[in-house]
Amino acid sequence: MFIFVRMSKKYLFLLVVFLEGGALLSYEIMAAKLYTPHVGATLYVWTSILTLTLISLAIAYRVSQFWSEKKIWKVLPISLLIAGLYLFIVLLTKETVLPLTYTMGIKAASIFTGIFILTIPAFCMGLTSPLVTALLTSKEKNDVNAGKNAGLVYGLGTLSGIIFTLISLFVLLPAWGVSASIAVLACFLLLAAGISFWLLKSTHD
Amino acid sequence: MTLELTIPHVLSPILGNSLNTWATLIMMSVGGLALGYFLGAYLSSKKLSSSQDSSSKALLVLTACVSILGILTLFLVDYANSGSLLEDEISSAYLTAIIGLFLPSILLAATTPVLIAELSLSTSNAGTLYAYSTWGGILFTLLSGFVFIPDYGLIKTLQIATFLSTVMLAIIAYFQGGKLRYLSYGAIVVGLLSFGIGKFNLTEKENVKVLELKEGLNGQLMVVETSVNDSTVDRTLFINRMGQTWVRITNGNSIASLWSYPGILKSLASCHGKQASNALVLGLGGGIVPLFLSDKQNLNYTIDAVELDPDIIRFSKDYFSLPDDINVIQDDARRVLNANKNEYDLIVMDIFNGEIAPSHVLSVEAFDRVKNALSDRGIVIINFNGNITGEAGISGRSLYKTLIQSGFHVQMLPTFEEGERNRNNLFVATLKPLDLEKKITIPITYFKNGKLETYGIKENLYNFKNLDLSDAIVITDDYPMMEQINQVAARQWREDYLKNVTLKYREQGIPLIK
Repeated sequence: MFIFVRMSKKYLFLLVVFLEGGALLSYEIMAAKLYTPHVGATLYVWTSILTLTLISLAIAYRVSQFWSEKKIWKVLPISLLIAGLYLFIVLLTKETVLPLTYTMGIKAASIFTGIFILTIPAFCMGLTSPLVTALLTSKEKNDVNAGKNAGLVYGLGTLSGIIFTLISLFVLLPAWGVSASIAVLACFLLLAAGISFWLLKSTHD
Repeated sequence: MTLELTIPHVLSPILGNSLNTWATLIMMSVGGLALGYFLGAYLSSKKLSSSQDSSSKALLVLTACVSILGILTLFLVDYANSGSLLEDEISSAYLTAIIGLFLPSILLAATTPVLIAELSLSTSNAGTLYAYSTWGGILFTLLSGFVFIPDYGLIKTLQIATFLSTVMLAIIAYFQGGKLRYLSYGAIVVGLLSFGIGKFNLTEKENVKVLELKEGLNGQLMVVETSVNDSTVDRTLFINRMGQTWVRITNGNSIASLWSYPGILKSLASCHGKQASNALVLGLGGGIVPLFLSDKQNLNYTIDAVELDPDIIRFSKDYFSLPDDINVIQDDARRVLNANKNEYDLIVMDIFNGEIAPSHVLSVEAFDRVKNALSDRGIVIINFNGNITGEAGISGRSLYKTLIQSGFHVQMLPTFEEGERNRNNLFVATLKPLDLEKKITIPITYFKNGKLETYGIKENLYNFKNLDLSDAIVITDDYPMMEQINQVAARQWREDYLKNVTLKYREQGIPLIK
């Protein structure tokens, strides 16, 4: 029973990764739709999206090391909560903030838009995979499994990214439009925050 | 990251630049990464149960396979310049994507978990390794997007990616020590030799000449000239192998469009006669529309033309005689509309990226900006594909519905060509009803069986009364579906170009990729 409960908690952590991974990649694609009325749809837009997302992820991966070493696991639900809420903030403020780019050059406008839309949620979501990998491995009390857990967590996050992206592009977007699709992703992030908060609380209790 | 940026560009002359193509290729890349991470997890777990060497061997095999795939891709791309590997061009293109993108993505993604196991890294340091990998991705995204592809071309960029994979193999083999160090030296030699693969060696036939071929902001740009006789040449501007401008130049200075729509557009624009008027042309291409509108004998327009790609601006001046008095604004059309404070009597929207009709310029919000930029006597003319009925016509019907929703009075004049698939539709949108036939001062004429005929506007205007608009959608910024609904029409256009132009040019010695 104990092993079953421990395994169930592992699967729930993986569910958190599944929700976050899906939200991250599909938000990147939806973000391009937020760009285009203000910045257009060119190589600059895609380069800005890819570069700023990667920078945010790289910083998140590096910073996660500090929290992993100190075992400050509560960062996980907090970062997912911030990511989810930030998506709602983007939806509510984009028509006020993005017109500021009209007086900028197109490259500066692409970067400004990317910083506003992408960096904070990408950073917060980027913390999930390394923290969950560290959590799972520390619970197994065996660093030798680090590679295996890393592959599993990152693979699951990427796989869910594909699934969520296809659903967003071919189901949600045609049915509900860009804003509602992003709102759905935000709800998934808030759900992931809630699950991870409960998991950590029940682990300590 | 270099492969993710390069392979779609390599395949765009065949597959185009549509959302479906990008989605398929991104799914191949990301799907490969996902499979690779799982493979890496499996391989790194094998280290726990078998010998110490297993993850070292795994890394060696993975990087060796990536190098082999890189070399194979270079051969495939070089072969594509002269022929098709499979019977169907599109299948050949997807085969190249599998070998050049999907399989390497799997192998490259598997290396990181295996490396973590090989180095016996702790969990916190695993995050650091992923961080370094990501920084590498950032660096090469920027280098590929801003330096390698624009300055060196696609084949050189692929050669660089292949060389990097052999460097990876060399490093791993070197640290294995012993006889594997010879493999390391060999890998570097092979990597250097790969710069010799992929040089296209086609010879253009005499009557066909590529004036310029390069990678632009939105894909491959090419200007081709074919000789008609001693004093006449045909010149075409292609974006991703889709013709954007097609003209006949006689005696080096007289330019006529070989498509009918620029001439018809000029006639429609003559409704302001010789009254001083301002015109905004969104989308330059070869600049034929602004060139026709700058006719000072029959018209009197001061023209602002908008074009995002600086290479297209240069091409229009160097190869298509764009007049110097046209004010060219280098920017995105929607951004210009967003920031615009001028008033125009004529706004022409002739915006296609290859075969793609961009949603963000054809939405209700974009048309609101257009309305704000129009004078009281202003007219808007939109060049669009010729389909209006059936599955291929849903984008045309949706454009009509969107214009109506935006508050315009809309008329549509098809061009002369036979059949919806071969013609263009010119949408004329005004704030008040306009009798075009009464207002135009330049009649629309064409030659038929050697005789000059007049193309009457009234009898050829499309009658929307019988058009079923139940499946048409209103395009908005929040509902940017134009690309999706235009897919059938775009695919038809690309298939026609592939069959009638792209492959014929390849037979005449013009390479697909440089």
